[in-house]
Amino acid sequence: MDRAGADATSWVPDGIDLERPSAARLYDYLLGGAHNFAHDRELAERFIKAQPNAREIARHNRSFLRRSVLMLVERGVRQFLDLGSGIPTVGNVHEIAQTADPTSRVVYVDYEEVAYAHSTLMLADNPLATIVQADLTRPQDILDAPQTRELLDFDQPIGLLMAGVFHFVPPEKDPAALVARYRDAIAPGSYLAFSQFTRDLMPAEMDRVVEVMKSSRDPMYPRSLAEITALFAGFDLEEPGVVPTALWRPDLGFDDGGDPNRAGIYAGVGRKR
Amino acid sequence: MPDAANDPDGDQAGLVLAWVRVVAATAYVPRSSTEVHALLTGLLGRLTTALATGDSDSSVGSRVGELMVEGALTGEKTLEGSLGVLADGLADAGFGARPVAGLLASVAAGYAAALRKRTLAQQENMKLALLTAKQRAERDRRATESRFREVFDAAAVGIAITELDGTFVETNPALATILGRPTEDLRQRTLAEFIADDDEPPLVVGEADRRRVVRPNGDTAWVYLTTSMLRDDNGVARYRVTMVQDLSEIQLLGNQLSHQSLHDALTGLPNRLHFESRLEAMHAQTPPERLLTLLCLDLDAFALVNTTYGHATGDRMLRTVANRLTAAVEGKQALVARIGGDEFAVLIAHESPPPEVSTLVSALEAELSEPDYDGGGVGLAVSATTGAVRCTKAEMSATEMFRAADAAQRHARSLGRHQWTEFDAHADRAARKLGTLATGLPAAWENGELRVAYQPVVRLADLTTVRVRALAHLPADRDTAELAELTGLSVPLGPWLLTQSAEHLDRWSARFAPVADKGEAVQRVLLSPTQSADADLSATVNAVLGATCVDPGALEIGLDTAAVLGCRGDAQDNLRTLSDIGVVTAVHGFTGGPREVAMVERFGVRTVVLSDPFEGWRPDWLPREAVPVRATTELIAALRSTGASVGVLGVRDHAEATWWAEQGVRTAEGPAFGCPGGVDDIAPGRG
Repeated sequence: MDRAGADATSWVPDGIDLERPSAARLYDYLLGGAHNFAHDRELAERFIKAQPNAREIARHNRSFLRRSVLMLVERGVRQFLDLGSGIPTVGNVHEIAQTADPTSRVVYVDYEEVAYAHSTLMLADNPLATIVQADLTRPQDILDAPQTRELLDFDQPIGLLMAGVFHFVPPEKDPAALVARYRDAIAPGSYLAFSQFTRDLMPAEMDRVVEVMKSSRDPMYPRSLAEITALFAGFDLEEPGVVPTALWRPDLGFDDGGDPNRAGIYAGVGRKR
Repeated sequence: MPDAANDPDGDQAGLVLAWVRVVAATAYVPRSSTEVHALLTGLLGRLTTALATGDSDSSVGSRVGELMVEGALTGEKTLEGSLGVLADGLADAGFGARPVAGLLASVAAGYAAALRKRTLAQQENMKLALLTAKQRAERDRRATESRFREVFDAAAVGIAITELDGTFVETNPALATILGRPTEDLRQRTLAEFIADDDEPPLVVGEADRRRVVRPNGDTAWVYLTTSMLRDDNGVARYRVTMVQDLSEIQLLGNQLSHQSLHDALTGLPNRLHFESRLEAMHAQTPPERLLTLLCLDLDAFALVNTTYGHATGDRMLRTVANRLTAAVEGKQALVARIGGDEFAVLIAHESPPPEVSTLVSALEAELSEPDYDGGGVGLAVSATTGAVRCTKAEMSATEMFRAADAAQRHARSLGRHQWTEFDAHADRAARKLGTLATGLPAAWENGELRVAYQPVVRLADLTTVRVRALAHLPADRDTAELAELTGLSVPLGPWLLTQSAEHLDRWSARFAPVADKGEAVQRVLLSPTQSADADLSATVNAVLGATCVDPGALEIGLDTAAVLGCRGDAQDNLRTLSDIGVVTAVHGFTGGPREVAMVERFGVRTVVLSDPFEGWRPDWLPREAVPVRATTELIAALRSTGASVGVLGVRDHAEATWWAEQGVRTAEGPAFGCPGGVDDIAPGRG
């Protein structure tokens, strides 16, 4: 490696472009993690400027993921496919699920290098959890990956998790067809836990965020309540339907006194027919 | 000390709730609220105990700070908020401001130290993760490299990586072999040192070039050199890669390839391309006074053999023909080739006065017609249609010979199956004239050279002529309709034919009245595809009928099946309108697909004229159980069940006519019943 500042970055694999911030590392920063680079943090600060509630939004989304996984475990689901899992910080799906039942199996999927490298390292000693480096808009890559086939039994219910990731899927990738592709691969009685940014709740802030994220490798596409609800085609929505994350089966003991409509993200869980 | 410090159910419970609320609002904690509540209750207990016992040791505070970090109470504002509620709550509980401040300061210090440690750990973790990823990438790269090394070492092609000035950086074993020197001897030397012709222009990157290399013993060997550039990340050329192929090996491979490209894989005979060059060579080498005979043979009904008996049988037949032709000319200076799917050529350079061409052809035909029995006991006798040409090399060039034999073969084919003709300049001219006729047809039309001719249509039941078919006729022996379709004259020719022939309609009515069945048409006109689609057709027919006062049912008009089926132009409307007018409707060019049969039923077509179902092959010679025969018989039955009568064209003799009659065909035309002629050439009664 002969570029300037080699010492500072010589441990960074060639595939990682430090100049281009990533959403996974930004999310990590918003949740208080340190798995990020200067450019990610710079983007995060601009994100917070555009949406001062950014940290709360990240927190609520992460909480929704936790509560939905716990609910699925209660419903007997013991295997999970977590699409866009991000950088493992605290309260990861396999920790939640395996605490509840140590035989729970989890396949994480992320295409971001740091998320992948980090997950690989963290899961090295966990035979029941693994990560596939793949793009969720290419379902076949994920469903056919040997790790997926090895760990998940597609004849049994699977918890399909798409928490805070679908707002990175552009309309031209046909989001409905994508969800359908995954839906068709899982057995009846499986669940979809889904959350994504919306413009319905805080339009001005959302517009600014979209603008900010245009400069990252992960531009964002907020969706309306109707659009998100439509993605649950073939699933029966569980109570309370598609709602702001803070209102989805909240842990009442955790009431922070904030306005739940400032959660910025809609969430819902559906059961495959 | 105030009692409040020992009252966990009192104000402290309120303080815990306030603290939980701060945490909920500032940090993501991966636990339930109950768990967080228990955690904070424990932490608060530690603090109040320290205050109550007056323990001034900072370790309690800093431990609480550490536990906050461990419990992920690490939101950006969590510490600030926590210290706030704790300061207020502890003060309200009656603890002194100074001890509280001291304790909370150590909480903050412990928290900061733990957070810094965690951040560093996370950074370290990420570094480790990335380093692992990098190592994996490097391992992959090494694997790639060793694969490359494997290829480099094992390649049959010589590979040299050189500096831009040509100095060897790396060479593979194959290159050492080609140059005839050990690899060590190549170090620090340049490729150019081993090239014999050093005055040649330098190699062009990306293009193959033929050069000679010099071996240590002074021998030279031809090689192909291909060179390309290795560039660095910035696209700057760093090294040159040269591939060196030993041409003597390529030569061997090339020979094999050329055999494959010049010979027919099935029979092993030279193919057309090869034959043409061999003909050229033999033509050139033949002494001027000697005669050359070229025969072009086209197997009869080969497609029928293929469809009836299968391709394996067809292939066997081709190999048999190849063997027999080769055997027949054995010992002669001769060449046999397969010049097309079912076409063969035999070229003989005669050393002594040769036998008559007819003798030669008969001998070959006799050889071919000997039945060939395969394991299944099917004996296949082959016949061929042959064109022949004989000349000295002064009389014709090789190309002319080939063309002449081919023309003679096509002429023979036009006479029927199992025919042969020798090329004669006159026949060739006639054939060429046909070619010019097609282009000359518009002129003939202009000059009024076109005539209407009539061909008898016979009722097969009693072989009685009951109708005539009107044709546009040129003095040359060729159906004009086909030419017209080629030249675009077709559309005006349709009305012309209808109008011209109408003059004789009443004459035909009178002539056939004694023999015709009731309502039988007396004159048939078959229209080409373009004519069938003509929007003015029904108007023309109406005008013609109006001018003659003959019953419309006297006229039978046949449209082209494909034109009707494909909805070409107004073809379907025409069929309907003609039927409404009362004309006897017919379709011709009928091949018998289910859609065609359905069309006959739907439009109530009265006559169906079959398109040659056996490709000119005599049906009465085919086995009854042959699939095409059975299919045709069933087709005729199906058509008759719709009420249509069935006609055939081109019947050769009465034996064939009888066969068709047995299948239920009603009318027939063809050489068996007479060729096109004038009005007076047709007589009613038995043909």
